[in-house]
Amino acid sequence: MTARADSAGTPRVQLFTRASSGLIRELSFGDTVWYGVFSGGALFGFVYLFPSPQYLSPGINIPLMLLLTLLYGVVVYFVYAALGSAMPRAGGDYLYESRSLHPVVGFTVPWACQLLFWLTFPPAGAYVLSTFGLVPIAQAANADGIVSWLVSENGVFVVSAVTVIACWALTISGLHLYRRIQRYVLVPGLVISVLTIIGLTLASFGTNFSRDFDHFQTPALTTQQVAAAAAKAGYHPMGVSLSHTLIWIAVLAAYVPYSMYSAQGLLGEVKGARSLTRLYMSFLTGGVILAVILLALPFLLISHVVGADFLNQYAWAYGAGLIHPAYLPNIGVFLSMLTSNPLVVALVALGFIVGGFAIANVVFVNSARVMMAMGLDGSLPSFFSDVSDRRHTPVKAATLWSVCALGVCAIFSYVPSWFTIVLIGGAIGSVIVVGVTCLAAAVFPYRAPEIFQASPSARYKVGSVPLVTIMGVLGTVMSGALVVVALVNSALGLTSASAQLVLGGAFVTGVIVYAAVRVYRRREGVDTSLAFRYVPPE
Amino acid sequence: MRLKARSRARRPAERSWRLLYATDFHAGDVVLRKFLNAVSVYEADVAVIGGDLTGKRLAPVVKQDGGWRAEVLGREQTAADGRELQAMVRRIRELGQYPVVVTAEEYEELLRDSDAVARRFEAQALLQVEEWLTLAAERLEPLGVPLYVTGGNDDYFSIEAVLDSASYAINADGKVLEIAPGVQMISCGYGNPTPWPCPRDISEEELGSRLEIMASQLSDPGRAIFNLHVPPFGSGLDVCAQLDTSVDPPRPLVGQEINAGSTAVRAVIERYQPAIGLHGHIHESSGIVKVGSTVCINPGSEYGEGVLRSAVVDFAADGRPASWQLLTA
Repeated sequence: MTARADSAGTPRVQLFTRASSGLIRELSFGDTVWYGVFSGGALFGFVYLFPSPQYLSPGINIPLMLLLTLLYGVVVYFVYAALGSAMPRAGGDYLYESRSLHPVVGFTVPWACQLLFWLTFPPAGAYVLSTFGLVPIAQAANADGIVSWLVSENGVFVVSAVTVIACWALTISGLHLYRRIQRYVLVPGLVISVLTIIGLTLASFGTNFSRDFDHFQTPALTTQQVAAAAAKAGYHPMGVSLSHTLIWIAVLAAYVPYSMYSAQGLLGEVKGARSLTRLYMSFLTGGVILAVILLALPFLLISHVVGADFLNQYAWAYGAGLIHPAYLPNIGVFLSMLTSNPLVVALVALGFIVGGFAIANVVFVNSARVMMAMGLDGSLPSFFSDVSDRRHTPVKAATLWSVCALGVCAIFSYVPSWFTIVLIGGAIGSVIVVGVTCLAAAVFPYRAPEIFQASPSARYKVGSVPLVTIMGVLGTVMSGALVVVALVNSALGLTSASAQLVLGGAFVTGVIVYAAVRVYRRREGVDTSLAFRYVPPE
Repeated sequence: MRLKARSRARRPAERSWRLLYATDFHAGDVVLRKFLNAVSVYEADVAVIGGDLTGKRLAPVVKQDGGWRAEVLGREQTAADGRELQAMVRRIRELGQYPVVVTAEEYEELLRDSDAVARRFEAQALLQVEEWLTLAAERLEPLGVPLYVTGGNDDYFSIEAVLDSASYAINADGKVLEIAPGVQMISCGYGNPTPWPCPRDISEEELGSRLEIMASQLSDPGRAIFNLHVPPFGSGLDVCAQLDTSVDPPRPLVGQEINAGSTAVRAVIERYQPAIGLHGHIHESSGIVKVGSTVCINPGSEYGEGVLRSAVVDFAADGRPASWQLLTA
């Protein structure tokens, strides 16, 4: 045995442990960070960065917006690290909100969030995988027929369906297989892609992008045509608009802070999850990698090469429907314009393929665990917590959700107007659940004092006020402001009746399901009131 | 198949009596107190505590320089006076650790002598179990709610004497007891081998023999309760991390899961098909499953967080289980 020394040189008092059974599952620090990076939208996030923001919110500064979003993340990371280290097990928001606030809130809000995730990420992830990944590769291979098919409604649906089926297969195979795929396929693919993007854009400094752009499409769509169309749409160069930059935090706030999301969902399997600082650092590391290295830096470099003004012109011309490119406009396509080397195009596309697939898969992995926690608590029928004896995974629930996801993919593919609603709705749903969890954190020391006192965050106070309360209040206010912005600002697309129907419907179904399950349980003879009774620890 | 409640479609039978079950407290003071309070809060008529009462960590509180030092939640904390010392000790106990107040010399001795540490561990474990049983008698005797307790694979054999001498609680280990009219319960704290040298780890064959001896004495196995610390193998209540046993102590292999339940427990349940199986041992694998017609329950354990995970089973007047659910408090 060895004794550690403190800063004064006195050996630290150490605990003695004895051989006994009962360890928990473990994911490493690195696995946790990378998993968080993928669930926060590694490269997938580019789908939000162009062309809608430039058209709908003129003067937006994307890198600044990402860095400001990271500040929101710093608050949210602490809240989740504090709650996670106090309750280091799977379930995330459901667990925190049901313990600190009320079981109805704990069920309804995460339910709505999970529902919106299912609406959003399988099809959106497949969309990025296809349009940012497969399309540029097909273009580089001069396979025009494949390109046309990929961007067609049928093409979008088939790629989405294949992605969903792949996610389903991976989910029922267990976390072990996913961990290996993440470690040996997703992470290397992402790193190689980002390094290629950085190298490609740096090598393109000073080159003539207009020439590359003009020659990319047949028949040609030229920069002059784009500029003329933008002018016709009313575009004129403008400086940075702070208000328009802040507005879009409401959307990206769902991603950068959510580099901790998957870690929360899987916390029962994270090594060292009882340590607040360890959790906080893993979330923060994931957030910085995501916001700075994977989104802000590549966007900055691409803007420099393509020209920020041209990006704005293109967004305006396309948004106004005055240009009709043969491809769905996105950053991935612009990158493929910078090189005629198919290998380089493929390496760039690889990152979007793995990023798109990973974010679709995160929904399967995390939601299955949250739904399972709800099932075990009796808030959902046992169907959701039914684990396959052979695979040790929730096969039935994963299959049900996969069928639902296929339906959503069909709507997404054949009713394009749903694209923005679903994409933004999913993002705002995340901010709402984060906000409610921040509220749960604010009252955590008072609503669940015995759990708080036993947690690492009990050490941190400002005066007599627990730091988790202060950060919780801060996070609640920030999240609330972001939700209000999203609901009142037409640029974000959530002011329409159909968008609010989707968002409101997700929460209403949560209340209905919760009430229905309680009635069903009561008819089974189960005394559902027991779950809500307070048991004193004295 | 995992279940949350009775799955039969017919109208549920009315509750006649209610059983409250929890397990794997591992020296968690808060969890024990919550359990005793839960008996009245959940309106239970019978209380059962599964095995693994004893803790895994010994926390020296070292007297030094007019104060005391101890590691609490990974950080060294100090107590300047008796009141602060009392708070520190209470805090350590709430974490499921055994606080031992020692001088600097005694602490040095503990660092050098692993046998001395083992003796301290056992002494503290026995002391705490005795305190718990006294508290249980104070709380439950006035309610008239019987309390059945067993050891678990992690528990020292020496706690048997403490359990046997308890004024109110009943040591159920190795016995066939009638806990309600027409409902018998057999209990076993022994477990199949683990990668650790736990006191009550025995071979599957020996475990099977012990279970068979008790089960064969049941008058109506179909209405019986099998209170067996280890869950049945491959039931879904026994999923945990696979361990690398080539290192000491064994290290979990990231992301690799195995079934760690007992084949002997599974075999005896499949053979006798009791009404209810009460299990623990694998803290992270809580749930309710059916093995044949037997409803097997593992409420799991979160003793370190002060969270009581328990199961409530309602029985009809004919002694058959009417409904069941897991609860967290």
